[in-house]
Amino acid sequence: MRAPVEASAVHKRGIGIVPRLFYRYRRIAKWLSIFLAVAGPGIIVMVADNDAGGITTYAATGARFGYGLLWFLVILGPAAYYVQEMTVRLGAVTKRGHAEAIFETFGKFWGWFSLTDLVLADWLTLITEFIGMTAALSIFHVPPFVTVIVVSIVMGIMVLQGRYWTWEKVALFFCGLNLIYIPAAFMVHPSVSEVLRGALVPGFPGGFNNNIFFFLMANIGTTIAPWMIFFQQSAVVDKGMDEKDIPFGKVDTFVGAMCTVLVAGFVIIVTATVLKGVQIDSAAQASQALMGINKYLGTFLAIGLFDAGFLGAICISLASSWAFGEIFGWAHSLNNKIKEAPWFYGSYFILLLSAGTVVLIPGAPLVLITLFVQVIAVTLLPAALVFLILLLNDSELMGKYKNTRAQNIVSVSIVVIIVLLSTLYAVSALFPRIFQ
Amino acid sequence: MRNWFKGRFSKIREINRKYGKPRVKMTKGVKVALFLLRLYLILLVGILVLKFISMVKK
Repeated sequence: MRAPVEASAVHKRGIGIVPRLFYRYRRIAKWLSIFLAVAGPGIIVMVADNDAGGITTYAATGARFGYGLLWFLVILGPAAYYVQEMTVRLGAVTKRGHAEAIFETFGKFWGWFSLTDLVLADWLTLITEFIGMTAALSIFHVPPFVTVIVVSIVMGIMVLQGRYWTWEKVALFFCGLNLIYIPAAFMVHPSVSEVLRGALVPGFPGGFNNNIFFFLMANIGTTIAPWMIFFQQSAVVDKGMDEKDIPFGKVDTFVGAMCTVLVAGFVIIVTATVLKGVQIDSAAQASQALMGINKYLGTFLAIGLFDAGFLGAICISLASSWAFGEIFGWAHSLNNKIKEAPWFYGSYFILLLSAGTVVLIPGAPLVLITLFVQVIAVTLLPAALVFLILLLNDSELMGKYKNTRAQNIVSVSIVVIIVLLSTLYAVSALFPRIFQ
Repeated sequence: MRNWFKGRFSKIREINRKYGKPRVKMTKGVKVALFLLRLYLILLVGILVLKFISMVKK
């Protein structure tokens, strides 16, 4: 009986504080190196979620309600995480994209419906990203056609270099650039106590009315979009993530959700501090207004808007091409060369160039397009979310990774609220006077 | 060109055959969810038609 006691004592004495700290450091370093290898799809999809339309919504929210709706973003962050985390599990376990999973599980009717709606929604959203990018660079006197051509070339180079890994790292660089709104917010010297009150104490500035309801719905519409579900699941598959990578994928998505909330919050802080009470119709207009106040601030906002549009464009165009490839059985990986996957890259460029061309057509109905983006997205969002939950409850498909009861309660509640509010948003976008 | 379209249509027919039967077990919950989804989409199409009519009337 003495031996184990002695062994325990030796064990305690033998492993001193320095080796223990070294062991802990090695473990953390190993975890971090694996995380850095796995991280990407979650951060990219979440940051890209703050696209050109999103930045406009946040800028308008800040100018209209000050810091008063910051708390809503604090709620939206976890909601977006819960939805996107399910795509990580689904992609890693089934090794299939969302479009293929829908076709296989729910049959051709729902499959074609989802694919057609996704492509249409993506194409329309891509046009709005080009609108944002051309508007942002027009502040620096760059003609729209130059913006469209240069962006298309850069996006072409990004996908044609033949490696998913390189594409992801370049995309992550642009995600980092999206954080430009953080120094911009510090430049305007906001009141920290008021910002914290706005973020932590829920309330409706000026009382709950139609106006505030519209803005809440708009914020939901920009935070959770259908293309995100399709994109992240396909990216997880293309990256080759496995079941053992799921915990890292979850952290990746969580970090992305935090980044999305931070960026959105800081955009609101900028416009709430400097442009309070000004009617904002677009982020480009906000940038121009800020140029008059502080040149650097306006420049930061314009760069951020361009970056947001660019990030949105690179993700949205890929979401459609991946979905096409999955269904039509084409080679559809960014690791393929153009000769190996001509249809995958072909569909990518057709979508990209056609959307860019629409922006350059004089008198194109861009306002109508922006309106229909919301409506088309709303037709796809409920279907994509419902299919996501049904797939995550399929024991045969998901095994031990299926949703638990608690996860179902949370995700179903989130989905019901999102579907209700986004539908009301689409209705109010179509009939602006309906809630007045 | 004709052959190209022929090829595309045959591919679509092949996809329809491949995914003809849904793999999901049609439990009560799945049936209700898909039914509600259908209702929702019909409602949205109705709203869009209403919008179209109101735009034409103007």
